[in-house]
Amino acid sequence: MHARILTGLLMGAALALSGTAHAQSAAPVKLGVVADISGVCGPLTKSGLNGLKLAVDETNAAGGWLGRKIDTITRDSKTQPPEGAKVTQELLSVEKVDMITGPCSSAVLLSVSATAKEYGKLLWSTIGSTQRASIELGHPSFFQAQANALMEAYAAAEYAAKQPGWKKIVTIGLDYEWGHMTVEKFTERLKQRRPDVQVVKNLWPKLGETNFSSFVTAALAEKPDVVLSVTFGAATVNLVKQAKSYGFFEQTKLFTFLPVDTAIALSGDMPEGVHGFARAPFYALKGTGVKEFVEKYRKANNGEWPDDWAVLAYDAFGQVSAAVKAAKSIDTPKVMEALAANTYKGMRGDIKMRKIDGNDIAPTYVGVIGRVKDYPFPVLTNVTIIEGAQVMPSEDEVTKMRAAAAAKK
Amino acid sequence: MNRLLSDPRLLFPAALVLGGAYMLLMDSGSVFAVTDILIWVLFAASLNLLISFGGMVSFGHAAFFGLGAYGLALAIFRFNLPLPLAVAAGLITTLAGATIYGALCVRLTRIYFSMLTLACAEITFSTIFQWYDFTGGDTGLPRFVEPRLGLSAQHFGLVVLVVVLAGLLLLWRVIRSPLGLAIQAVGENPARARALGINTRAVQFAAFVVAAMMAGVAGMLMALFYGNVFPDYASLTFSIDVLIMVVLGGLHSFSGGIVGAVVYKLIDHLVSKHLMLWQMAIGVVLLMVIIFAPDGVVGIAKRLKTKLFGEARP
Amino acid sequence: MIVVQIVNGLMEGAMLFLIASGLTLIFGVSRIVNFAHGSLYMLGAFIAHSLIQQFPPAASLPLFFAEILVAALLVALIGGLIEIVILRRIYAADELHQLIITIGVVLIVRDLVRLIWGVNDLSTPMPEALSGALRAFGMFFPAYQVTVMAIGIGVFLGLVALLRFTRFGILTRAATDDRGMVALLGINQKQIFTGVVTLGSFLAGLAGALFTPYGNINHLLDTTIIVGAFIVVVIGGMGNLYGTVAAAVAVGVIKALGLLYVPRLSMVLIFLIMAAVLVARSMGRKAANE
Repeated sequence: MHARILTGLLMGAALALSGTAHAQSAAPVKLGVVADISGVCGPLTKSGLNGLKLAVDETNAAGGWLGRKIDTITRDSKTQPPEGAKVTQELLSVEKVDMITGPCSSAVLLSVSATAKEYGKLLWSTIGSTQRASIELGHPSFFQAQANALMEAYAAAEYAAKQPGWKKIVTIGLDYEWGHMTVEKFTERLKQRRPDVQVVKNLWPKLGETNFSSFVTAALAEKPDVVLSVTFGAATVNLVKQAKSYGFFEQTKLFTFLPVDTAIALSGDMPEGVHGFARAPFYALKGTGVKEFVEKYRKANNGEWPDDWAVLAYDAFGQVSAAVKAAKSIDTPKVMEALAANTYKGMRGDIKMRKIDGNDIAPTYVGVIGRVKDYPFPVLTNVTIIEGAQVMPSEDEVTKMRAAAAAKK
Repeated sequence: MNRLLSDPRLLFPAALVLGGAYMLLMDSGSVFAVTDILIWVLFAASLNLLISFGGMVSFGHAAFFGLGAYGLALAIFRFNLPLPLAVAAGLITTLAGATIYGALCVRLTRIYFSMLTLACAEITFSTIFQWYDFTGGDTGLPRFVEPRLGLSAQHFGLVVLVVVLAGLLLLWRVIRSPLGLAIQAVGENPARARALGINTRAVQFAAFVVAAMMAGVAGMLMALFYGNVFPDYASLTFSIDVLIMVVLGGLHSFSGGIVGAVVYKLIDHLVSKHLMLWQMAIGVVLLMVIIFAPDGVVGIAKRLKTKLFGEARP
Repeated sequence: MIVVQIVNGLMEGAMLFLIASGLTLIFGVSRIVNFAHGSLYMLGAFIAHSLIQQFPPAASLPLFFAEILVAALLVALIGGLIEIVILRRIYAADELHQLIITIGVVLIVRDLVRLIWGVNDLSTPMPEALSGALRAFGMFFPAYQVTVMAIGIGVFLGLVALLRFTRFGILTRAATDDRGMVALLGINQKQIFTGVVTLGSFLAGLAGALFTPYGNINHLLDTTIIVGAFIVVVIGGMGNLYGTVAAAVAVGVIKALGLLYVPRLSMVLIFLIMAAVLVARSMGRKAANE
């Protein structure tokens, strides 16, 4: 037996791990970033981190929060929920961070949120948007800085209801929570607004699918007026490219999730006339400081255009920053109080957090793809801004949804 | 001293005392890290039984980690069962999976065995991933219970330590038992074992079930540790990670799985904090170990020891 | 409707065959389960992307296919190097070590790709001439997929001819059947191994390069592809080229039809078939023995 080696190694490991504990120092505010750096969420996370870095650097240059500098401590969740829980625990117990932000995937967000809840430290989300985080599993230290997925599904339905020609719909939803929830809630809301609309087929490609041709032909066979595609990133790009070669866009219309990064990725392959919804396309924002932000961001990132994730990370940090100033504290309950009490004038206009679910009353942007001379990539034109208040579940509904989730147990 | 440390009757109590002291005296951050490693140690040690002793390379060992975790979590979340019954549910779920998959898999050998374990694990993963109404789908069952059952980091760490040591002891006993000798005989040379009158399939099945049960226990510990379960528990990523651990530690010794888990987790812990290229780091270490030290970290240590202290005494 | 889906399944099958053929060849000869096959596919895709970006083929189809071919050849070279530098050292080792070493290669290549090409999804324009659809029998046949299918058939015929009529092919088949015998005949096994791994890598690179204009590429393509390739190779009988063709077509068609009739089960369905094939084979062998 090599028991001695084994024992030695285990002891060494134990010592190495205990060595990482730090004494808590008063000076800087520690912001833990649990980021899905590797894995499916990599691209979105990278932009988000760029936006966050810009915001933190500016705030630090201006003296930080309440005279304290902000230190960010970043960890890679590998887009795996168990890893997310682990690094969150490490950030809170070893690094003793004061706040957390960052996750992208719904599952990672939920695992981070469940772990952070115990410590009562503020967690805010700018990419991950599952409504389970703010409603069913919401807690007093969770802040969602964008329209959650449920609101987004309702917003898409409100827009679809206003298109008189859309009567027969096929849905293509990625076979996971976001896909299913969005298709279900979109259909529900649309049927309320327009009982004449029919959803004739639901197709469910698996997450990570690269070949959509069979889904395209199956959708076209129904001769729909429009195809709602609940996909993101690579899946949307693949779907659009592959659909083109079936003459899809001559036969029907596409309505899909189209943040700026997806439009940039598609560029030349993007047919005009695709309808899309997005969370914060910089060119459609009506609030303050948009132009300056775009310039600063491009300067800091080799001329890259900021996508929705960069905008949201920056804007949400601004909102938290303002709340910290108003509360004169980084204490979670006080900051949450301030977030709910004050209107923030950010890039998306006047925004305020609702107390019951910690969700920003934030807009969704819906429009049609076109090309304009200012930007070298396709953008949404004729943008309709669907205000958060219009699609947010009421406080009663939130209470009901929470009770239903508890009863389902 | 040497003999003292190599005797399990003394080693396990010693580990219990030392580990227990560590758990109770250290700050929660360190205890969390060690608790996480301990769970992986049990998981890797269970796979090591299959590979190093039974000669069965499973590509899908995480299936049982996931089954244990979900059996427990669903019992609590969906059926409101108290903890002891939930633990029983986790064990039964794992046992059911192990019996079905095991009965099928041991019909095959070598790479065909591996591929069937992969298929079984993917069926498990896909079922968990897609059965929204019951398993919660890809977003799992976050906070189906208070993390660590509401215990302090230290107390829960102690619970994990006791369970993991008990699990290791059980694995150790199995290997030393007549069954264990049969497992090794079949693992080394199935034809010879058959000639000796051993029912090879029954023996392999037994090894498969024991290993699966211990993986299930590890999965249950993980589920309680964070109060979460996710389909990732049964994913190919987890299956491969634990496979890497076993090879990294070194085949053909009981401590291989244990050492591999510790080394892998340490690399991961230290590298991923400072370097975005953590995958490359693990990849390079793997290549080095396999090419230059195919008997893993345990083998390296053994050779070092021989060099420093001369031939190991029996 | 069903006809359209079957045609589609056939086209997807061609793509799957391109991916799986190299894997099955390598397994047949070396008995190595090459997890790195997906990484080679990914490298093919990224190299093709860079070539097309650097030298836009615009309307020139010959240039486009030349670039695809160059990408595949570069991947073949990389694969050959991996064989000589890494795999060759471990042919004597047990299967597990060989397998894990290919996993090590997967991890390294993935981070290298991330380092060189970044984490963003990259999109490559499709050549204009192939981006449309051919219309026949009231159906749309996407030109690019038809082209890929033609290439798939060409590759299959080429491989059959290679294995049947060349010395290399005959030795490869002999090595697949009985490694020891080839060694006894005094033939340099190393050369066969290097040759087969290079050929397999070429096929992986070709499949990846052909995928580039068809879809988005990112550093996770390796994992996306490898499990699918395993399924096809296993159902096809591991090392059996003809079986692989049949399996690729079957999986493509099952997927295309499955999404119509059992939309939520398609993932489980294919793994169930894989498991069933494996179990059936074990029973068949047992029956044959008794």
